[in-house]
Amino acid sequence: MFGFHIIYILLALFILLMIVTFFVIFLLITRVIINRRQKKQIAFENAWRENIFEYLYSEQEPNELIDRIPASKYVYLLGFLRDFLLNLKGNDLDKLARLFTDTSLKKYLIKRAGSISKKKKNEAIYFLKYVNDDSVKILLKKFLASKNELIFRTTVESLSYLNETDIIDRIFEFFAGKKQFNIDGALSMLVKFDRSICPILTNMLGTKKSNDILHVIIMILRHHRYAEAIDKLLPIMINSGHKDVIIESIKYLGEIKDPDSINTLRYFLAQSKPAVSVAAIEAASKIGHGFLEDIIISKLDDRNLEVKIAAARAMSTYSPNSRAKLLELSRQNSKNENVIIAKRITIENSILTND
Amino acid sequence: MKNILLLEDDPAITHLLKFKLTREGYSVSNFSNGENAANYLIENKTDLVISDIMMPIINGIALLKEIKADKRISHIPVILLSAISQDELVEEGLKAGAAGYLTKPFSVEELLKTVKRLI
Repeated sequence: MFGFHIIYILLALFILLMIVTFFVIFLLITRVIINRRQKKQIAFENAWRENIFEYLYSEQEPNELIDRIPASKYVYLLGFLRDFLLNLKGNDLDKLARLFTDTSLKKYLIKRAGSISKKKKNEAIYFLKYVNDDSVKILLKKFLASKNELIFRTTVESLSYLNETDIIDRIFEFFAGKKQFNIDGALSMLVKFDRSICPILTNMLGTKKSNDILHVIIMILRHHRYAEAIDKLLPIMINSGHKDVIIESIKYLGEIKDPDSINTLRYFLAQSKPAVSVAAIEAASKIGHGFLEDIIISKLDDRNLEVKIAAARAMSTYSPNSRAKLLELSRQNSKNENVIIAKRITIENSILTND
Repeated sequence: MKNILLLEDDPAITHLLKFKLTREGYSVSNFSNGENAANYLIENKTDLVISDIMMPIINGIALLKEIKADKRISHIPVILLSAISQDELVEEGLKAGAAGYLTKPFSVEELLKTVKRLI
């Protein structure tokens, strides 16, 4: 019986040793491959750097450069160009982009985008945005069907670079198909489009029912300070029972600074949810005009501490009268909570002014 | 020949700027961080500094303040290179005495114009 146990233990140790050995061998091979790749990248850069810079600052045509570089080295060329494509603009970027549009590099990328290797495919999708022609846009849009998040993300990044706004619905669809809607993920993609995305998103306010999607749409509209969305947004915020949608809409009102939205803010200031009150106070403070002065001052007596602090902070800038009342309160010799808050905000403001 | 000190931790950008500035007739020295830059400026006649804001060890703003605090080198104009999201740092840099700044992505032509304006 005891002998059997020894055999089992030895067998287990042998299997463990084999696993560790395979793992170490795998790591060593991976490291060798990476080192080899890095050495080849460095060798390529040393050999071609001057030629590429020469092309960049001369009348040379793209083909004159690309035709001299062996196709087997294109992968290193892409590695070399990546930093410049990110850091340069104007004529320099235009000249670099022509390396993709007018040469055999385009065919190389299209072929690589069809690779079964996700890494190669992803890299090709990343660089195809610089080709910027209709056939490539059609090809890129096919990759939006990918379930792989990395491929999908890179494809969206390339198409947003080309400002292909017709893919916005697909972005929402992608995230809506997940177990949980990833608000940050959707935002990080949509924020890459320029302001021309706003009319499309404004139309979606009338058709999208998901609160997560509405939340994201309003955040992007706020980011671009797109005031034209207000008519479609007001009924949504009034009728929505979703806290994040309401708060984001209130922030939007504060950002576009539309004086006509003061009555809407008055409505939300009357609500009891502290986070909504805080957002409404902050938005009112940004819009100014002094019409909500009484309500903001009264919010200093709210039961919620965050609402009180937001009210005091707003009072310090909202109107001369509210500022005077805050200062008067701060000078009182009392341990009353409102006095303490008033002191804190006035000190905070004096620090900021002196800074 | 005018001497420029280039401080940039991205080797690709360093190579490109050295290539272009040298071709325009400037002599260019470079470091990948600001650690030894102030000493270098004291010991070597330099007409202009081009410095990335985000660098390891000593960043561009700290170096700029060091340069402007030292009477021996405070006259040297400094151009800052920043990323889009570094508006506050750029403002701090301008207050500290930067002669100009460019935001990445930037145009090399634009940088050259600024260099020519300053030296």
